[in-house]
Amino acid sequence: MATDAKQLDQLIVEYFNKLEEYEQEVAVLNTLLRQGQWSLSQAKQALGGPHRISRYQYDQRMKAQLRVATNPAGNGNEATYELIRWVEPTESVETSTADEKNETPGMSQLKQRRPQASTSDENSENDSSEEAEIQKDQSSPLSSKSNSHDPLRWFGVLVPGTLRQSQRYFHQSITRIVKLANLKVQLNQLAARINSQRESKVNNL
Amino acid sequence: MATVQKERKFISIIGDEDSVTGFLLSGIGHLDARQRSNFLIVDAKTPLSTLEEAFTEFTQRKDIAIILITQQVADEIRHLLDEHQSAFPTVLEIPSKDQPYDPSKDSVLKRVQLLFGE
Repeated sequence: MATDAKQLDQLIVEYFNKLEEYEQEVAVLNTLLRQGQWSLSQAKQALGGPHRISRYQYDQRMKAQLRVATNPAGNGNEATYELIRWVEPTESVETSTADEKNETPGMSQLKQRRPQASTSDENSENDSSEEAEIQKDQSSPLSSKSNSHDPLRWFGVLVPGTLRQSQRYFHQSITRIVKLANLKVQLNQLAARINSQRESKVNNL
Repeated sequence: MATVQKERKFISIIGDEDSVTGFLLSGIGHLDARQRSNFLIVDAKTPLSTLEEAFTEFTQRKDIAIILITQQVADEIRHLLDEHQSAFPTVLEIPSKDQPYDPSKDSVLKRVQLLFGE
């Protein structure tokens, strides 16, 4: 009986600790998003109007570079979501995976054909100092060596620094969002445990 | 069941154009072979039915892990958000460009009230 009460207290303390962490993360996320939006507005102004950075410039072949690995068994000690940087298997020969090795030679040639063409296209652009700067600026764990699919390019090759800054803020926001999603899952699990503990306590009375 | 959840890999976003553009800049945007996107831009002209359909679709898709929705948009489909009790995909409300974030509407904080009373 006393053990049950102690367990319940521990769960409640754990719940409030997580809740505090959640609120702190929300506050950080809000700041990052505000900064990201502000930089985006400045970039629009620098480019000459809101229509220069809008849905009409989105690449209709976009593939997600930031994804999450989901571990459904995640609990208080183990994260449910983990942020990963996804590199398209066709993007470079160096990034060949076990799956590719199992493919027929014809398939791999087909896969290599496109990246070679795109690499040569990108090389001319990579020569510019602007691109070098982009790579330097994106020295976050989320950035890859190859930026040929960088969404910044949807809006031009020479984009304002404020747009890159905005991208960085939104990058950082995604990291916080994954943390928040993990915390939300953990809080829901804790809430369920608190409820069941309370029910068993009532049943024991 | 666990295998199904492991297929969840995308972060989707529903919100105003600037919020969606910002998040797509970070690299979460995805269009699959059927040209299904993992984002929806909501503006004054977006019908409520489109918004509801998009949210329902995202919650039912097996490849979406996290749904981000701006609080302003979330207010319009609050009934659907309240109905979504499943752990996957995880729905997170974020501040929109034009409206400050209201913590009292956050589902996590609302649950605290339910759990421990007012």
